[in-house]
Amino acid sequence: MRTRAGSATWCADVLETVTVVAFGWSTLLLGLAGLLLLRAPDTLHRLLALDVLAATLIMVLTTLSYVQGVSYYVDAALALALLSFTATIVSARYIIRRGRRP
Amino acid sequence: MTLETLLGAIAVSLLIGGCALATVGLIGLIFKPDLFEQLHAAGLVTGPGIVLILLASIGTGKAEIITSAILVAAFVLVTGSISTHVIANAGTRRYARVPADGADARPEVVEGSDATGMRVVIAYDGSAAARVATDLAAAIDWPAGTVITLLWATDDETRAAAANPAATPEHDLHETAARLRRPGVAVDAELVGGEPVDAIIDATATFDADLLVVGSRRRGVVQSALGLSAAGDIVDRAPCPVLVARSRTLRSVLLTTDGSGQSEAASELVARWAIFDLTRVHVINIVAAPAAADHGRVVEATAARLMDAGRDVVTAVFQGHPASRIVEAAHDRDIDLVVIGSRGRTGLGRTLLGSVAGEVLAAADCSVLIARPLARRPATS
Repeated sequence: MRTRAGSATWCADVLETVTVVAFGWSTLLLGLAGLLLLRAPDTLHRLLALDVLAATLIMVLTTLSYVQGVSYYVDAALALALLSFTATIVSARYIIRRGRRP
Repeated sequence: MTLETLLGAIAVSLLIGGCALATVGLIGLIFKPDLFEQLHAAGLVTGPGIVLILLASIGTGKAEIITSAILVAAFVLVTGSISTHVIANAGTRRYARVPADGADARPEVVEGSDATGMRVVIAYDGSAAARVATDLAAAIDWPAGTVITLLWATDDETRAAAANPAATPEHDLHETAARLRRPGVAVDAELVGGEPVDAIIDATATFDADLLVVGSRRRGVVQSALGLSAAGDIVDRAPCPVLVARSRTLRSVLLTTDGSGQSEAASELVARWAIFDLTRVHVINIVAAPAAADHGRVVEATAARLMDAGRDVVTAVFQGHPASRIVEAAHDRDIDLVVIGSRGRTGLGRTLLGSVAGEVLAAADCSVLIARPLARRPATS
């Protein structure tokens, strides 16, 4: 009984540590994605970098939600995913259509 | 071993796996410059990377977090692939370049040619309007050493809608190039993928062309009144003078001048370019007020410069609305080509629309050559 409880606590500790590390690591990746956005040579690369930036931001929000133990951050991530998707589609259509007349 | 322990262990491995995949993806993104290789790497971040981290929510044991996370995961799985597809599609249109007929089509400049040869890009797409452009190019007496690039810019839709499906663009380009080729004039054909206007402008800049020749496809009344034509769009954005072809010969030229920088650029083209050697040049000036002495001087100064360059010159001064007078004069005098200056595109966007050059381009029956002051142009003698 005591060993069971002990192993459960140990596992919860590991999970907590890994969650915090994952949060920090995602934040680092967010910085890398920002670097990618700054280095993008043209519109399409920039668009892709923005897509990746939104994805890493979703990762940061999700891991933050695990660390804090509340669900609101995941809802924010959902809204972000929706907006990022719409933005990507519209921008890509614009790049394809640019300069063409009806 | 309790359920929580098991879920916790799974969550830990999912978190580590998700972070690892996202890291690998981002490293790939940073070290691969090519868009399509980047898309491959980005797929790791936007797909499995996110989904693994979202699935790690089972370790939290909170129903509201797990529900939201699974919702996001499902959404991301659907939208991630669509985003990648759309970006790849846009990339294919922008970057794809296919040579028309193998390596033997590279231009070969004739031995002993000097610097008088021109670099000319002709936008050709097999349409009747484009055929007028190539007919005019065939009629022009190009100086020795000229390199002409026939450029067929297309994306999938316009290629599918080509007038004659039996003749492929490659074949048509080959035939047309052969028709233009003559001693001293090298002709190269290239098939370029992508949005046509963008592709033509990019290629003209890449070839560092002296002249871009395009056909003039007549649009509906409303569209042409609004200035919505591909030719107008090209003229607005081209890095060099643009010849919009409507006639099939080049014997008489109407040069409009007003003493401004852009009309100086136009008269310098007529004086320097050897293609005007055998033409008669009509120099005209349109004045708003009854003919003032200084306007006559502008015309005479330009005419004197052209005569120094060996041109056959006629002069005239008209009064009235500039664009209508120019179009009328071109019609009355049976002119093949109107040469007119334009300021070109500025930081504020298109300037051709609504300008005299734009009005002439929309209304004239003959070909129009739009010149603009160029930075790399040698100084006037």
